[in-house]
Amino acid sequence: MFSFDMPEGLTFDDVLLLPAEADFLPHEADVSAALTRQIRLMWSNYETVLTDPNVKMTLFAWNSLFIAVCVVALQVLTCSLAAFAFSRIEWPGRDTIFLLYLGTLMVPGAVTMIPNYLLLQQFGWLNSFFGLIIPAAASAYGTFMLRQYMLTLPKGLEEAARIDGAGLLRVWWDIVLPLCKPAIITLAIFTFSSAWGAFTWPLIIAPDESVRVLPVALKNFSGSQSTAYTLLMAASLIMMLPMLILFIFGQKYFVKGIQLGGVKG
Amino acid sequence: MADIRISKLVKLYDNGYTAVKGIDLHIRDHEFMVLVGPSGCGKTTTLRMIAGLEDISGGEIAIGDRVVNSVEPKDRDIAMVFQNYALYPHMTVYENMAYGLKLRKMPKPEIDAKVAEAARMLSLESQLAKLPKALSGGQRQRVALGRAVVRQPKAFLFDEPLSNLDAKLRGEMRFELKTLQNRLKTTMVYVTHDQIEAMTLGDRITVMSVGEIQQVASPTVVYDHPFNRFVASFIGTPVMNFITGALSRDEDLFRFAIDGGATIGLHMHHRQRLAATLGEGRVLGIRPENLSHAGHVATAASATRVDAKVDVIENMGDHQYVYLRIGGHPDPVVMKCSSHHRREPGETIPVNLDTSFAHVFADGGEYAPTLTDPAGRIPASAVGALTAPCRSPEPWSTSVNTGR
Repeated sequence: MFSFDMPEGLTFDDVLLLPAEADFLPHEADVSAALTRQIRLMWSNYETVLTDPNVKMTLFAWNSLFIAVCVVALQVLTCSLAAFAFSRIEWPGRDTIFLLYLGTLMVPGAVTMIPNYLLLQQFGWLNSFFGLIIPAAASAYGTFMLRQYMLTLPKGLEEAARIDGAGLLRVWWDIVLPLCKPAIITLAIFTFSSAWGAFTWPLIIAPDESVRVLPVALKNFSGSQSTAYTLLMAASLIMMLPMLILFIFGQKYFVKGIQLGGVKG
Repeated sequence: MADIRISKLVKLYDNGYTAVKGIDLHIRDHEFMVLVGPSGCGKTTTLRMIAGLEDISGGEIAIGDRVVNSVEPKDRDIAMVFQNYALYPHMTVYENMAYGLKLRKMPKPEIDAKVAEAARMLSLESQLAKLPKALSGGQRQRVALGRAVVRQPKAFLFDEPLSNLDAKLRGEMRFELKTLQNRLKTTMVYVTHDQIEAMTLGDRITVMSVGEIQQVASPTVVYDHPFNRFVASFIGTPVMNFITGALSRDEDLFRFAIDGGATIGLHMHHRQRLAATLGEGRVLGIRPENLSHAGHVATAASATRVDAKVDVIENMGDHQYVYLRIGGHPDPVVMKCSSHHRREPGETIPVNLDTSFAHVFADGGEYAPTLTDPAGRIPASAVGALTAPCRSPEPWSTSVNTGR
C-alpha cells in the first residue's frame, strides 16, 4: 500500500511547485529579472550576434552552409547513381542488395555513432570538414526515394537514348537526371534541412572552432552559470531563416517528397 | 543500307517462357518488312532483339555483314520508332531530333542542316522550338520519325508506331510512312498487330503466332494463298468464313457437303491436291467478298448457289456485312456486299459461293495447313498428318517467300 507522509510545514501546493522551484533556484536572479522586465524588441542583439568578433556567427554560418551544400551535392550524386543502378540496370542480386541497403534505415544513428567515430579517428578526419561531410555523402533514404521515382519513368525513353547512341552514364545524365528534377529537388531540400540542423554528430566529431557549425555554436550562448537568452534567440532566428526561405520556395516539393517516399526518418 | 539475317533466333525468359522459338528470316536490303501477329506472338520481342534491347537466348542476328548478337544498340546503326513515341519530354523538338547526332559528335552546322531537312520532310518546321507536350499525337509521332530519319541508319525499326493514333491520323501516317520509305530506300522492319497496316505498308509480311513464323510472303500472296488456317483467319476483314463438312469426288467434280446443309461443287483454280484429301472433317475457307446475293450481281461460272437465312446485318456505309445461316451449319457465314440492296433479318436469300478463291483446310485446328495451295508448297509430311497442327519453324516456313 502506497503511503506518503507530508513533511511538517509544507502544503500540497508546495509539493507541486517544488520541482519547478528547485529547477529555477540557481537562476533565480535571471528568472525574476526576465519576468519583471518589460519585453522589447532589441535589434542590437542581431547586430551583436552577426558582428561581435567573440561570437563568430558568420564563420559558423559559412561552415554550416559549406557543409550543407557539399552534403546536398554529394547525396544527389551518389543517391541518383545508386537509384539508377537499382532501378534501370539489370544485374544479378540487384533487388536483394537493395533491400539490404534499405534495411540500414532501421539501424538507429546512436548505434553507429561510436564505430563511426572510431573509424574517422583512424582516418584522421576528426575536427575536419571531411568528417562532417563524407559520412553524410550517401543515404539509403535518398536512394530509395529516387529509385521509386525512377521506376515511374517510361523505359522507352532510356531505350530510345540507347539507340540514339547513349551509354549508361549518358542515359543517367541526359535523360534520367533531368526527368527526376522534382524528386531531386525534394531530396536536396530534405538533405539541406537535415545537414543545416545537424547537432549531435558535429558536436562529437568537430568541436573545434574552425569547423564548428551553427547548431553547435548556439550551445555557446548557454554557459554553466547563465544563458544569454537574448543572443540565443537572435542567433536561432538567423539560423532559421535559410530553412524558412527554402520552405517557402520549395513547399510543393516537401509535399511531393512525403508522397514519394514516406516521411523522412 | 543493309539486309538483316535472322537465323534460329530464340528468346527464352528467366521464368521459362519461350517468346521466340527459333525463327529464320531474311529481310532484304531496302525492303519494308512487316511483322504481324496477335499479342504475345513474339513479333515485338523479335524486333527488340534486332535493336539490341533484348538479349538473345539462341541463334544469330546479322545486320549487313556483321553479326550483332553482342553489339550494343548504339553501335548497331539502327533507328527505332516506339509505340509511345518515347520523345524526351525535357527537350524541344529540335533537341529531340538532334540528340543522336550530337552524341555522334557531328558539327553543329551539319546537325542544323539535317534537322532542318527532316523537319521539312515531315512538316515540322514550325514546331522545332516546342516541347513534346505542346504537340498533338500525330505531330509527336512525326518527331519520333524525324529523330530516326536524321540519323540515316542502316535500318529503321518500328514498334507499332501508329497504334496510339486515331483512325484518321493512322491513315495519314500510313501514307507518310510509305512515302518516306519510297524516298529513303532503307530497310525497314515494322511491327504491328493491325493487318490493314501490314497489307498496305509491307513489301512482304511475316505472319507470326506463338513465337513462330507462320508465313512470309507479299501481302497479295498472304491474302490469296494463306499457308495455314491461322494466316487465313488473321489476314482479312472480316475474317475468312470456315465451313466444316466432307470432301468427296464425282469424277472431275469435287463436292463439299456442308455440315447440316447443302452439298456444293468446288471449282477451285488450284485443286490438284484435293484428290489426296477426300473425306470427312474438312474445312472450306471462303472470304466474305466471295459470297454474293444471287441475282444482285452477275454469277461467276465457278459459283454455287445455296439458300441462306439472314441473321444479322452490319451496315458500313458503302457496303454491309450480312451474317447468314446455311442450313444447320453451326457457325454463321459472313457475306460482304453492297449496301444498296435492302435485306431483312429472317429473310431467306439465294447466295452464290464463288469457290474459285476458296481453300480447303485439314480439320486440324487453328494451324491446319491449306490443302489447296497452288505451288504445292506443303510438305508431304503435313498432308499425311492431316489432323496434326502444322506450325513453323519448319524448313518451308521461310522458304515459301514469294516476295517482289
